[in-house]
Amino acid sequence: MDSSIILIFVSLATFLILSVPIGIAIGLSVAVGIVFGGILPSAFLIQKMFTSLDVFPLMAVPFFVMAGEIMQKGSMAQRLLEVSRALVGHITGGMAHISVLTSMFYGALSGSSPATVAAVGGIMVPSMVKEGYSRSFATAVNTSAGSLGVIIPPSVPLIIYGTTAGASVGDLFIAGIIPGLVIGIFLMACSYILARKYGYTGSGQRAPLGEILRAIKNSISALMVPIIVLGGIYGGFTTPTEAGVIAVVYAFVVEGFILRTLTFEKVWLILRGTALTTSSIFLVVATATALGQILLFNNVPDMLVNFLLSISENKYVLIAIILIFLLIMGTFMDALANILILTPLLLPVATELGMHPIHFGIVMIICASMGFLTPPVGVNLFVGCSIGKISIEKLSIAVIPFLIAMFIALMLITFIPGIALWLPGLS
Amino acid sequence: MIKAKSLITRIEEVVSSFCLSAMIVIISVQVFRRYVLQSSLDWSEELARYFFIWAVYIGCSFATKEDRHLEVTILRHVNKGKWAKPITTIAYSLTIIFCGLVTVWGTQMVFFLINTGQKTQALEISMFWIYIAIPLGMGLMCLRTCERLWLLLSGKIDPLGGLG
Repeated sequence: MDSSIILIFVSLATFLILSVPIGIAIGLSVAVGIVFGGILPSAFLIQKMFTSLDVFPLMAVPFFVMAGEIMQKGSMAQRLLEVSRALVGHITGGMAHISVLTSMFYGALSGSSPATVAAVGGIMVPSMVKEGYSRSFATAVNTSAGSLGVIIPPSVPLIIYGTTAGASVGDLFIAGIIPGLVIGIFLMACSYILARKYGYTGSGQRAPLGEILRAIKNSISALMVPIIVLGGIYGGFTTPTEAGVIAVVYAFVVEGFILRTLTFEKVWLILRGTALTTSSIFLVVATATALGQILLFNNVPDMLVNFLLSISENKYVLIAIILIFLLIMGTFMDALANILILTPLLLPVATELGMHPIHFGIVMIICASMGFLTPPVGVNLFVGCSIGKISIEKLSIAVIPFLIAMFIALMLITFIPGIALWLPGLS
Repeated sequence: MIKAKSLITRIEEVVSSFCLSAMIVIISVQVFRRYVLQSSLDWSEELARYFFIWAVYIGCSFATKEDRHLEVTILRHVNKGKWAKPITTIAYSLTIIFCGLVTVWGTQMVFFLINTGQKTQALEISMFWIYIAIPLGMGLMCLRTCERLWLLLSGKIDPLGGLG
């Protein structure tokens, strides 16, 4: 391998561990390659910082972030919770199931995992503790269920993966639906087993149909969002970016004019919040795309393909190796940086092994979302311990059963491609 | 609502929020025209993309001010946070170096584009109007990071988060 590539990797690892902002750390390692390795002119970095963002599908990210911000300021999470309560409140460990189901609903509105933990967990953890659930169990359920925020579309990481891999973001969104439901069911099964062990009961009584319908009616404005967004994409009427802007306008009209929860001050806070999240995401995108390009110029992906194929001929062994690698990287790297840097490296291997790029994307996002639940770098854990008021050590242990459940689901989704590919009609 | 003095100290959030709002309006109009009036505009998508680039780079400086950039902060917490201050000092210094470099390289690029007179595809405005967001945003971020470095060294902010 070229010595300048090694120089880039060593400096990147050093900058990251020194807590330099991730986007800056990646950019600076590219700059080190430019200044000391003499690999490319400085104009390359500037051009990449422009062209990597000059991509229409990427604009879906700020739109879905803003739609999420608007709904977070409003009352949609509370309304969705009532629907979940009417549907699953009676099952053993009822409150845990309510948390998971509400996170699934919320995941269909929000494209971010920590935002889902904050919105749903912020309401559920205190009420679960009040009803006698242990603090660590309540926090762990909500922290894990937050992962559904990025697996169930819309999803910020799926948009980033799609543009990096050159895959259709629309297909990725549709492909994410069933895997999201599967993971949700596994998390509920895990909650059920734990609830029986700890003796948490449900309300015991199935809610009457009238109550279910009333709850659905009250939250209809929130439940319409996934129908509009995913319906538009699935039906081929809108691109994900257009669906994003429709979601923003819809959320704005509903919260502003129908539910009347928005004030001018809140709108300003929503814009500020969106600006902060958008910039922090896209600084990473801008520089990581430049790094990915350099790796491509130097044939690093080819070397990796050849290296992996020299280990084993068996397709399943190789896929397992990639999975383990993704899971390990997910524990100590930020999800976006992982997707941006590893997609150009691993996608050629995956396609060589016969995996569809859409399928690989879903697998990659699930691995990344499991990384949200593991220290040292796990954004859901950070949000979880602040809303659950427990230490990160305690929470990291409490989420382990849920990680095992997600791992089993991940195995199914990886080795049965149809789970992801059936709905978009690609299998 | 926002006074003149605070407008200058809050210039990044104002510009970035304005660009985001502009994106929303432009793409909403585009969607409306395409699906309701059945006539598309050819320049709207390009204009929205350029507002997006401006929103991101000017917003980077705002994110520095609010300490919202994504970072791996494990090492700051090691050894009960005793190394947090020196490590954060190094991190800020490295950030200043990168932002400074990009400001210089970006400015060179802008001058290059002014000289060649390159224009954008649909709008036919000069390309440097978009590229200038990069050195401008990174230059502001450089200043904001210097400000944070000063606040850190004078003990006004806690490297482990929150105000000291």
